[in-house]
Amino acid sequence: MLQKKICMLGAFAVGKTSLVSRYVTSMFSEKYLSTVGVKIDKKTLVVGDETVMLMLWDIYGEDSMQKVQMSYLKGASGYLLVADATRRETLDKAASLHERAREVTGDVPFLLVVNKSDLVAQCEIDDAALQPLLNQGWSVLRGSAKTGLGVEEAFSSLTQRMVGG
Amino acid sequence: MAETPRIVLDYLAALVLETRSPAYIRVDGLGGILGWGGDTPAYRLPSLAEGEPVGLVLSAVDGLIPHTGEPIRLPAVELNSGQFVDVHVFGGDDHTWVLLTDATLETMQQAMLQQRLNEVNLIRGWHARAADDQITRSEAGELISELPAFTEEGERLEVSVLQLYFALPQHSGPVLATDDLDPLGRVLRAATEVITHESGYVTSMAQDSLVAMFGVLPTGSSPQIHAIRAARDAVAAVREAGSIGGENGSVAAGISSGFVSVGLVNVAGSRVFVAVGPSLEAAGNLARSADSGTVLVDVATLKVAGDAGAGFKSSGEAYALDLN
Ligand SMILES: Nc1nc2c(ncn2[C@@H]2O[C@H](COP(=O)(O)OP(=O)(O)OP(=O)(O)O)[C@@H](O)[C@H]2O)c(=O)[nH]1
Ligand SMILES: [Mg+2]
Repeated sequence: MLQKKICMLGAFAVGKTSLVSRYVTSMFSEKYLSTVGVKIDKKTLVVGDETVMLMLWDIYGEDSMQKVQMSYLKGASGYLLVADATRRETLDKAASLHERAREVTGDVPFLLVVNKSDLVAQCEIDDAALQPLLNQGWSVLRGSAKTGLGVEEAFSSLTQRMVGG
Repeated sequence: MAETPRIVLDYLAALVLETRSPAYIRVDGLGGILGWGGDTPAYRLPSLAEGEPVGLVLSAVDGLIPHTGEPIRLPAVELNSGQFVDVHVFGGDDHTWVLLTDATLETMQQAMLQQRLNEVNLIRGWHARAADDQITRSEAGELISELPAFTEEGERLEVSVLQLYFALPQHSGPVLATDDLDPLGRVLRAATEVITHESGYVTSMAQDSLVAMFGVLPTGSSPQIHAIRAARDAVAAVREAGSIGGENGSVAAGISSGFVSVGLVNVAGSRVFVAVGPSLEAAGNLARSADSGTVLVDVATLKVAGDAGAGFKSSGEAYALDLN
């Protein structure tokens, strides 16, 4: 079986843990329990005729006090950048983490998830804000760990690109 | 730096052995286990066996072997058991060493701090947005129905509560076309700025008042001192921001210090900070009874205010500072 490492990267409280838990256990909690360090979860999925075991590295979110240690990204085959649709600044954070991640992982597939898109009225990241990233060739998806929207799709489309499918 | 004496190094080694439960696994160039030692039982790893891929035992090192170059350190990796471990990978070629050292204690401490800080930063963000949108708290009704949920998990904090009351002058002429905000928006924003500068944070805003709390966010000196400084600056800032056509409105401040219970509740998908305690009401009462241009504080605030308390004069049971 193929094994692939995916890292979750983003500002604090954007929903990295929630996305992993929605994907792996189909659960969602409103309660915010900030991640310290890193927790590794596993999930198998089938891409084409290949079974892939994903190792999902749920890394603590970057805040004003702590930068994310890039050593966590060693050996990653891809990463999900996560932004919070209700906090515009988390998009800039995703972009800066992407720059730093690149230095460790090289040119591996990545995908941006604009999470919390269920909170329509509070949305601060409109399509115009995403356009420059799309122009640079980023893959972007709107999703919600709360409703499940886009979650399967995010992980499976990233995995497909990682295994070259 | 002078070379560290042997005796110190020996002491450090003993300390690490005692407090960090080091355990090591030695692997070949393909990640097959060659041997192990140290306090491996401390980590309740699946059974170790020679020749097994190390990634099966410890998923954190999957894909990191063969290792070359600089040592790799992965801090605070959570094991299934809820234990945190620093994972170190070093050596190279045919012999890579995977070293585990326990980091549970410091990670738990870090967790508490980080949780608090992140929540506070989220709240700050909402307040900045609230000021931008000139939102008044229409959710208040919903908050109260959620209070029981927070009192269970909430915490008690010693804080200073600052309340501002203001009245804007009646429009006496055309408002300048260059003004991008209405006067109320300008006032709320100006007050929020000086309060945030003093590490206070705004818990509610309305058409004629604003409440802020000091001691919830980490502060440099005592909450009382920050609250008084913020009150002085806020009175000035509100006057300036609220003046229309040279005409000033009125603004007064009240400060009360004591214990409040604080917590976060979910309101419509957003987490909202809630506080309850006698100081909140007391600050409101002081602000209401203060004359325009005056800061009125209670004795619990003034007695620890140090230099910030200069200029206050006794006024009934409280102390007043006249900024007119
Ligand atoms: N409405 C809504 N809330 C969400 C969604 N995803 C996460 N949340 C909430 O956002 C908060 C933070 O979620 P987490 O998953 O803990 O965020 P994180 O990125 O792992 O945070 P750190 O570990 O601190 O970096 C929690 O209160 C979640 O319930 C979503 O899609 N919609
Ligand atoms: Mg998390």
